[in-house]
Amino acid sequence: MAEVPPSGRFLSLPYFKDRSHRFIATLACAMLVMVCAVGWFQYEQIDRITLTSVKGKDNIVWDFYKLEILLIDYQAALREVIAHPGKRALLPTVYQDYNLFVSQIQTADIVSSGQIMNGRLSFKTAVAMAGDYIQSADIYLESEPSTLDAHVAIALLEPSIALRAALHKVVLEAYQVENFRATQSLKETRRFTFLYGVSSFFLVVLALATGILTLRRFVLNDRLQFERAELLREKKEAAEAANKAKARFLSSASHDLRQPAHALGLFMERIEQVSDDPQSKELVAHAMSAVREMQDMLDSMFDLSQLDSDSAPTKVRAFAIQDVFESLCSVLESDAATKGLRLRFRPSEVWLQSDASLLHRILLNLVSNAIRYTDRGTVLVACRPSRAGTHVRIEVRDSGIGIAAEHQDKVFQEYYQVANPQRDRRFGMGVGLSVVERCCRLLKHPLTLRSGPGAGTRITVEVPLAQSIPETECHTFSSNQMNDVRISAHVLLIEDDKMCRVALAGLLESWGYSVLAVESAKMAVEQFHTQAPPAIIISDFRLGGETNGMEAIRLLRALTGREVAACLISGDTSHEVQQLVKAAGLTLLSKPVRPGKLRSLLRHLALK
Amino acid sequence: MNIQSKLSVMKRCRPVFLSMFFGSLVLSANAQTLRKPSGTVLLTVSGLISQRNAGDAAQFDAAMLNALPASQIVTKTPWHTAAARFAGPSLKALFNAVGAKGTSFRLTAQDRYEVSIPLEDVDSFGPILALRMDAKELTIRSRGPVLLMYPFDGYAQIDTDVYYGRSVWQLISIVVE
Repeated sequence: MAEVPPSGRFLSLPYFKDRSHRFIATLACAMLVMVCAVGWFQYEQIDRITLTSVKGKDNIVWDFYKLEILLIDYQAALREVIAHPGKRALLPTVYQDYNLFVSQIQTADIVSSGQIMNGRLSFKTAVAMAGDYIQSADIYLESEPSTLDAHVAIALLEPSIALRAALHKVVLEAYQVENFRATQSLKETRRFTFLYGVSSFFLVVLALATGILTLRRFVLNDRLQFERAELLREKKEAAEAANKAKARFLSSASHDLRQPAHALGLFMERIEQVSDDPQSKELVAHAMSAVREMQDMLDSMFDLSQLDSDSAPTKVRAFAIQDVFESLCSVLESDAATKGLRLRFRPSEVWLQSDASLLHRILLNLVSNAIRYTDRGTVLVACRPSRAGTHVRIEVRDSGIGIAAEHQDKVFQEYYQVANPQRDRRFGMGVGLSVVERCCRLLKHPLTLRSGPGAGTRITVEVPLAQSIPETECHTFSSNQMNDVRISAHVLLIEDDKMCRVALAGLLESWGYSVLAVESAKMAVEQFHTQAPPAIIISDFRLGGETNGMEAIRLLRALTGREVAACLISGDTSHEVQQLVKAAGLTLLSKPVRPGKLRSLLRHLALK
Repeated sequence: MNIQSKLSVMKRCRPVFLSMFFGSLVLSANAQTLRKPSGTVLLTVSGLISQRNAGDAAQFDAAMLNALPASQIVTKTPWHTAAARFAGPSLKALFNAVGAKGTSFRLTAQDRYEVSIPLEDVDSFGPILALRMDAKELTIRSRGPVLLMYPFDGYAQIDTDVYYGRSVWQLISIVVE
């Protein structure tokens, strides 16, 4: 694999992934380069303008005018000599003035002003004339003269007048040159000021434009973000609404399905009792197991819909895990045996602090799942201490097909099954583990999964130990132990659904109860007067009329004047209903009712 | 070390002590009185000075300038075709002689040229009042008789128009300010 080029790596930095970020960065770089360029340009301009202004101050006029003045001084000294011939005291002045002039004119082309004027005709002429003049004058004045004749002085004065005129011409031209240079300098200054102004204006505009662009981009980003958030919110709301609708549908579907399933179960129970033919007995057994399967599915679907509604309260208390194990063992033993598996619950003495029914549900799902996905071997349930003895890890371990790593985080989703792409109904609907996950979340019990394809699966739930063990052992999970003791008692059954009523009445009668089945509270009251008072009242919670089962029971109890034993059956096991029933001190059985459970409850009620 | 040996040390050092004593006498005499010039006055120093010999000013003729401690500078200049040896008293020696107390000096030439130089120049570069060029006396014709000369070849930073402007030809007066 080739090395990623540095530029590619640079551009793939997180800051530059966004196109707009890249744009801003590029813009900023361009701005920086521009500012630098303009700054450099202005700096150069300042340099140039300073140079030109310095040049403008050179004052070359003065340099040449000074030469002229020196010559004038010399001429004045000569005139003094001419006026006072023989006065020797004047001679040093003449000598001095002459030599001053000569020393300066001889270097005129070396100094800077001379260099500026060099090449101009007036300058050349003046220098040439000065050279000629010096040649003739040096004879008398190169060294200090002892005498100077008036004629000689006149002869020296005459040509110097022409020399002065030539020098004056140089001065005039120098003035023109200087004037020109000053004008140039002024123009340069003007041009510079103009350029400086324009570039500064450009800079300001650039800065403003960048500011505005950035601001606009920010505003745009803000708006986009806001819109995105809005969109997300809408989507979330839609998803939530869909989820709610699904939960409602699930709830109502499971509720509606429970009624016929309930009836079917009851009928099947009857058929099982009445059929003697071994062939039909076998068919009935198959049908029974199918019905159980269906009821299980309905239960788990209903569990899920209830857990979805979030309001499910937890009843955390101390209880012995062994009770749960025993209950589970009795329920699942036969399933395991059917598949030829060994189901082992390692006995445990620990007491846990949790919701017993939710934990029961969790373990039921885990163990039945383990049985479902294990073809041979053992399913083991065991407790192990953890977290320095404050908690217990309940392990459900199987030797089944296992779950590949890529599926492990999905198995807790609803309707997800690993090895069931055809969605074979026999393997359940895939809601089991999601119920487990929700229950654990509700109880805040950490849930861990360790598995590999073909290596079996181990799921652990970590549950805190009970702080103290209550003295009186509370409610334990009664298994569906059939009791062969036949108890006959008068039962009043109120059920508006005809199919259920007939099925349940038949079942009850088969158990030896004498049953009076009516369809409404009103009819029950009517029948009440003609019949002997019932020992037990079984009522559907939701009756066709305005009164519900609970009110019917209250009414009937009022009529008899005593607390007749009663229980309620309902397809609607919502939280509110449970609360209501519990407040009234009644037992609520949810549809479809397991005949075994109903039987043991009735026995319990009849003996009270 | 005992007294004897101390005395012997002093004896041995006697000539040194004596010369120091007389030397200081001579120096103080020099500092106290500035004699009048006998020849043509070449340079007049005025302003913040303590030694004067002509009213407010101190005047120097060639002999007096030659009597000051002499220095030499060998350098090229823009006004001469080749490098030359300039000799004469240093500006510092002149200022010591007149007891100058200023921070800058205004120089004037015979051709009315004027320029100011700061005190730092005197200490940093040691300019001299050149009286001779290549052992020849400077004349007016050769930009003398007194020419202020900087060691242009010795310091790159003074090889500029500013210092060329400070090298005054035909210097006649210094005002200490």
